[in-house]
Amino acid sequence: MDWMGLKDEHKLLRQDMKRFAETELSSVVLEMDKKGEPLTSAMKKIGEIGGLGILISEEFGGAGMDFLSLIVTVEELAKISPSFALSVAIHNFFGEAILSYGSTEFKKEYLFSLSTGKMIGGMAVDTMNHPIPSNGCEERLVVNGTFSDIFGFSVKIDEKEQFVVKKKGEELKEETEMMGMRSSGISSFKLDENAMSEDKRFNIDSANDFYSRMRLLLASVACGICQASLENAISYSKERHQFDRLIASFGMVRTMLADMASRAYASRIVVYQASSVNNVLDREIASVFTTESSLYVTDKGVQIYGGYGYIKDYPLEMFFRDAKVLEVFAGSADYRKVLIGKSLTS
Amino acid sequence: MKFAEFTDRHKAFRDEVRGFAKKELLDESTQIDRKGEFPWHIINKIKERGWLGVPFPEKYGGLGLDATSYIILVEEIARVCASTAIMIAAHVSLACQPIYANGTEEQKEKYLVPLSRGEKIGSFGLTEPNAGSDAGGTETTAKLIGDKWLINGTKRFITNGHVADVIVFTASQDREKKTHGISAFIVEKGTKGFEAGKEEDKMGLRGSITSELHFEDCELPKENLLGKEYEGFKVFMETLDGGRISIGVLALGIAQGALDYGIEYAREYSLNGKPLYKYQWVQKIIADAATEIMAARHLIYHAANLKDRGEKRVTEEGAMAKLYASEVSTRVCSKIQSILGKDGLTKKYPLERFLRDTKLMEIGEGTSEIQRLVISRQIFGR
Ligand SMILES: Cc1cc2nc3c(=O)[nH]c(=O)nc-3n(C[C@H](O)[C@H](O)[C@H](O)COP(=O)(O)OP(=O)(O)OC[C@H]3O[C@@H](n4cnc5c(N)ncnc54)[C@H](O)[C@@H]3O)c2cc1C
Repeated sequence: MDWMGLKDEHKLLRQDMKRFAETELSSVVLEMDKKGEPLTSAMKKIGEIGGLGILISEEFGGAGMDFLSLIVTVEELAKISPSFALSVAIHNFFGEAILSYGSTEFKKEYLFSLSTGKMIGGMAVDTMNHPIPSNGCEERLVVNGTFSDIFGFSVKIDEKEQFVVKKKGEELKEETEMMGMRSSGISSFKLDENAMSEDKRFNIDSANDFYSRMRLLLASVACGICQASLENAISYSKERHQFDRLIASFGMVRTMLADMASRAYASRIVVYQASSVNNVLDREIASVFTTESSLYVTDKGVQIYGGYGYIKDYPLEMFFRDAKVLEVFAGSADYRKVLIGKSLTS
Repeated sequence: MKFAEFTDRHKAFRDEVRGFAKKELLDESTQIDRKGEFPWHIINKIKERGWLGVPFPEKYGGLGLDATSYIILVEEIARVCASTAIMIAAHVSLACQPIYANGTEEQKEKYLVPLSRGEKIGSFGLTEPNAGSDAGGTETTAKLIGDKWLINGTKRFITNGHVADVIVFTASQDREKKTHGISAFIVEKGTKGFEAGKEEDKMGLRGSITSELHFEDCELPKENLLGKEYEGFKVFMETLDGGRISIGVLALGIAQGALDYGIEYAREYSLNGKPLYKYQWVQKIIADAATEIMAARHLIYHAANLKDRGEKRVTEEGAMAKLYASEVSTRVCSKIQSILGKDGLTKKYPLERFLRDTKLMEIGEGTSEIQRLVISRQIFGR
């Protein structure tokens, strides 16, 4: 099922990304997930075909495409490697942050390198707070942290949202024990005095709008995961025999597939739709719905694979772990629903 | 939370196991998962206490306790380390139990005694590459040639496979006869023609071993038949009746462990300056989890209790308990992980391990779909 707003250029882009993912990612993705290493050489290669400056205007060496193009790209890459898709999404969005909020000289200094991939950008995705010990210090998770040259995060200073950009320093600590998204180079840092020193800051005037777009990108990773789990489960159920029948012939397997398909389709439509209207609430709803759906869909995907869903020979268990990370790390879905409910009634 | 079904003896045993788990296992559990190695040092301590033979009579090397006590053991261990708990469950429910229920006196003497005492480790080989849910589709063959069985075939996903000394397994004497052609056998580690193959790299339960088993012209003495010829299907169906309760209680233990942790965390951590437990969205998750866990607990201990009252088959009750507890546990672990936010996503906190571990409970010893078939067959008849 495709969304009617998709233009030919998006469809072509999707084909390119599909080809890229199949040739550059599929043979290494499971191994790199096991090791917890990023797909850095693929990162370089996608830079060569313009995948790292999607939103950056041509004057700064980018492709100057629209937001939906980035969504389509991320979704397609996520079908093979959710981690890689996340890295690409966050790098591109970091560029967008510089483009939107950076000073002219800053843009000139960095955007060319970013859009060609000479420089890799990272960003803290957990713009919503996470629980902390009663008198503890806040920590942030930075996607691409281990291999980026520069990264950004946002802080509230005097009730004003600011985007802080830093050259990568020692404060970033590699998170080697993430449950999922293990090839996204996720690192963490403590949000203390040290983290705020020697940096560049820009004011963000509409932080909600900005971050809801980032969360929509995470949702498009979830969309890709949904599609891929569904496609895998469909083909597996058409190959696997038990009781002298294809498992696709069993009613309970069929209903699982139907539940997966409806969520996968709906996720895609709602994300595409939300990307094309200028409405924060729409994006939040799309993103919570989609990330929750991806957990549901991957859980059923594992189930349809049976014992084979539980082992690392197949991508299903990775999708499941990746989906859980997505559902939580930009703010738990359950908590975000409270915020959505608040918006709906205010 | 109080639970009405326990006698004082059960409570005392529970407290003993709980104490052990806290003292010996809690700090180790993350490391067991991290290393992905079989926890020999823990298993040795468990065996010293006789806990690898809890429900078997003392004359067979066991502790002579009831089914409920055994289920308590698995729950309390699973609350802390599911990898260790599934090792015990496979050993007791799937290897010892069928020998106890179907073995000759000599077989019990030879195998059950050292297994119950923990001097040997047991395992159960039913699943094959092409025979998972359809375990009756066994392709491994057994031919009686003279006074020896000749075994050929491959088993897959066998818990304790590599470390087991005694393996109960199924093979077909006559594939035409389908389920009525299957017999059960016992093979010992080191038997010529028998070998543990590839070890699985799994999402969870990473401290437990899951292996392939290969039989290549493996010769077994005639007396290694377990039960009667052509009755292997019955042997494993009965074995799974009890085995399901042990997988169900594994799920229950994991869910309880997750809830315990979630409660503590919600007390001690704050979000935007407000303690987590004061948020309604957190209260809802915790309240739902506590309620569902209590319901699962009743199903599990009800099934165990029926066994203790001498009920021969607990097919329906065991299947319901396993189905419900395993689905509850996945839900509970995932939701509580969400309370922890990003702390739920790394090994520094146990929640991500709980979710990875518990997912297997919806798959192993019959998937949730198969449990639903078992239950509806009990309801509608065949
Ligand atoms: C970690 C681990 C430990 C294990 N330990 C052991 C062990 O110690 N001993 C042992 O013998 N086995 C063991 N197993 C194997 C386990 O019992 C099987 O994986 C399980 O029974 C499912 O079989 P399968 O993997 O072949 O899935 P399949 O049977 O291929 O099932 C695939 C999908 O089809 C569905 N399905 C199949 N048949 C039907 C039907 N009739 N109606 C509706 N839906 C259906 C299933 O529910 C599932 O969703 C273990 C597995 C794992 C992963």
